[in-house]
Amino acid sequence: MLSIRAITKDYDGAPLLRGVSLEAAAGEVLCLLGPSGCGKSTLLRIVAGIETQESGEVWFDGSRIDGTPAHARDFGMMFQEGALFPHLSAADNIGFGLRMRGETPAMRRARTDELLALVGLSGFGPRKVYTLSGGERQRIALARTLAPEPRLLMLDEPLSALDRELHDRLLDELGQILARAGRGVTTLYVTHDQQEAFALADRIIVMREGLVAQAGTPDEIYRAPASADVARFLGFSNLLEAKVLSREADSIVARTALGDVRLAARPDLSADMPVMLLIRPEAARIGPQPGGWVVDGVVGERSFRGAQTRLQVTPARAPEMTLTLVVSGPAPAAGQPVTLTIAPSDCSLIPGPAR
Amino acid sequence: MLAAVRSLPSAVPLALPFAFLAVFLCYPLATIGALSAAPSAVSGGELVATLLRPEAYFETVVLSAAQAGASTLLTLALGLPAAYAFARYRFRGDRLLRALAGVPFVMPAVVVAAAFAALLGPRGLANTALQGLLGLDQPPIQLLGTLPMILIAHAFYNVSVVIRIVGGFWSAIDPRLESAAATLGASRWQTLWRVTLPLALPAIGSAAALVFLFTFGSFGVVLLLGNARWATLEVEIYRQTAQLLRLDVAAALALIQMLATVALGLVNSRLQARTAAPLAMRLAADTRAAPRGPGPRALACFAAAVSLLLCGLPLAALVAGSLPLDGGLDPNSLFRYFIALERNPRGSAFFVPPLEAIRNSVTAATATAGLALALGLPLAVGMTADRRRGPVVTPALLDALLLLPLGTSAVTLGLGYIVAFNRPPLQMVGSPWLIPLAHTLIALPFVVRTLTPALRALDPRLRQAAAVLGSPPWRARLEIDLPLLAQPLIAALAFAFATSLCEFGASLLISRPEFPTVPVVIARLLSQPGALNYGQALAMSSLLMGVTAAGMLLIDRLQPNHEL
Repeated sequence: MLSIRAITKDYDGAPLLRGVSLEAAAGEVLCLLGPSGCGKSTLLRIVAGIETQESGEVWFDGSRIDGTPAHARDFGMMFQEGALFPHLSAADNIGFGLRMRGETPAMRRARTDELLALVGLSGFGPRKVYTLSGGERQRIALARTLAPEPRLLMLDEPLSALDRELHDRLLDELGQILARAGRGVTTLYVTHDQQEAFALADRIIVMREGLVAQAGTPDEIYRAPASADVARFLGFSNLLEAKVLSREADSIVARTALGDVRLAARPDLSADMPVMLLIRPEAARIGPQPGGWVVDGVVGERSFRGAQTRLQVTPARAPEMTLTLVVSGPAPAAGQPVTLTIAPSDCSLIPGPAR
Repeated sequence: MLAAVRSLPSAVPLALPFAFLAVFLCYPLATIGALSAAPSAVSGGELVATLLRPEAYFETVVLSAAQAGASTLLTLALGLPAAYAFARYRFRGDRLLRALAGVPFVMPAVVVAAAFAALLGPRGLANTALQGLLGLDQPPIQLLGTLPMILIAHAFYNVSVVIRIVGGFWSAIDPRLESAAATLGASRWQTLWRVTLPLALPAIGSAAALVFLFTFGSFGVVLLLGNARWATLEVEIYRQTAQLLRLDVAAALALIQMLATVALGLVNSRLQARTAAPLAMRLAADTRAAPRGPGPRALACFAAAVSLLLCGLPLAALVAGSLPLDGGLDPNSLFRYFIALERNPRGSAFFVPPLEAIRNSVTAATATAGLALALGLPLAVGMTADRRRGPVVTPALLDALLLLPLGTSAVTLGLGYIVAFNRPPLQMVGSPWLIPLAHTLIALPFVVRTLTPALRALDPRLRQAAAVLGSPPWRARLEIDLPLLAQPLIAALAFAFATSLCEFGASLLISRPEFPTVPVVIARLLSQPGALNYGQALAMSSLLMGVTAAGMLLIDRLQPNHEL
């Protein structure tokens, strides 16, 4: 379907994309996830034909499209902050792509009304776009992108300029709209927000410094970040230096500053390898439990979040370290000693040193 | 290699404006320079030798600077309190009064001169009123040709510069800063000295530099209202060339004027760059409040007085003077100066019916508007071109190049045209194109400066969005860029049109006797004796004032309102 092969791109003389390759299957929603400056938006613009790569190829449906100008690719792109045409009404914005394709006014009107209904803005057609709120603008921009039924749908940080509440609401709606209107359309979604990526993607491509750092389903990426760097970008902070102590058929023992822990087998890791142990925040329970990995410590900061409580715990065996954990039920107050049991199933080993 | 090929298309449109600047700015100036460098019968002396004898121009430069300094101080003294009142207080008629204060700035210099002649001249409103009241034989106010007259007229002309720049700055600054100073124990005076004025210092400096620049280079007002002693460089250049035929002194003065103008222009753009920074705290809402207490009320009254007495009264006197009431309300008597505009009472051979001058002016202005846009748009596009595409000419160089016509004295330019285009290879003297060409040169910097911010504000993503939606590049230009640029384009056209309509210095030299423009005819009528000439001058000035005001109103209406 879409195939991106070894794309490189420089920006002001410094490499921005350093050989990115990826494939998207037909109908797949692929999220490019990475911090700002990692080159994900530039990659999207290269696929759209707005920017030109230094080297590498872009293929779509079996043909190379690098030389095709943007306006002849039949792709759709929703820009950050919408990029609505300020001199046109909402309806004329939505109908713009149809007009460029030479559709009749009657067809344009019907399709525009259909899309206004789809994004929940029926009756907003005649409005000038600068009279619309931020959320309304984003919906019109989405409708404009969907109207010509593009062969490939690209969304560049479509929700990043919105406030938290609107962001969460539109994220739900975006999922529904994409499922309905974009069904079967290959979608590239660029974001720096892992929550968006986890909610929408069939597959996630994590990008770091111009390279693909990891590709996988949301579950794979959440359960097994490929590197400490990816883990930190996903928001995990409990990363312990560890060493593989022994490897058996169905399990593996790792030694950390907090003691030894037995985890599920990892054939890719061998004894004496330096690794990192990731403890996900939901891994801990309060109180000692038989057969578990028990850690003693002192509660530092404690912040109550309703159903759950977030704790910073300083382990007794490694006082230079702080674990950030989320527990449910009653939790000790700040400054109190605490005994935790950590579930090995909520921990992962990450190959390689900390870097 | 690739970059060079890519930048070629952006270089081609620049070729025409560059060729224009070379032929119609550099060539005539170089001709004047060359002519005055070699002693000859035409030049009367040698430029370099003259430059080395400062006594030839020293007095003019010093008195010019002194006049400009005094004009600037008077303008600031009247403008700053008014600017503060308009920025901070809401009072009855404030919008109208503020608009009224802005009218003089867009008036042609000859109209300003006519307005002050109509108010304070020997036949003016004030003198006739006082003579009637006190039964005097002689007009009691004898200001024509004196320094105070020039200063008042300059303050009238430029007070809106201060109101617009400094007032705009003050109204953009959060008034809570002053409240914060008050809660920290500052008295009203301390707040003024420690907060309000220091905040606006860059804006005040910028306004002062502009006013100084305008009054230092003032021509029409000083030529018509002043005398030889208080001549500006520009007036002295005119006198040296047209009356004394001393081309060397004129060229030396023009050189000094250009250097001074460019230096002041650079100072001003520095100051404006600093002014731009704090505007990030611009408030969306109107922060004005009703004036409470004696101080604020006095300020509001002062602002109203500046508007009405300084700006409104001369304009009213102009209209009143063009409509003589001695014959009652009989239209044939009331409008007799207007009616006389199309007659040639003395059958003079050199006489041109003023209505024909209006036609000349409008034709020249239309040609100027078209030319200035055709040359200014490629220049503006070149200045805002994407840096990564590697434009051939850097924007900084273009910016400097545009300062050149701004710094060139209009009189020198006109003189250059007469000399340079009166011989091969370009035999153009007598061509009706010479005036629009000179006017285009004068209007060009303003046209480019109107278009560049609009071009910079064009969001490239809009064109990209159009491309992704299936629009080829030419169609995106047509459907996206052009509608978004419509307002600045019309504003630029109107600016060029108005510049041509108002231009006086260059026209005075270039226009042939039988082919004058309106400001030239007004000046000619003003300088001739007799009630009819005087009345006709006022009538024509009233017409020109009406046209200019209407044009400026149009531009004001066309301010962009896309807020996306």
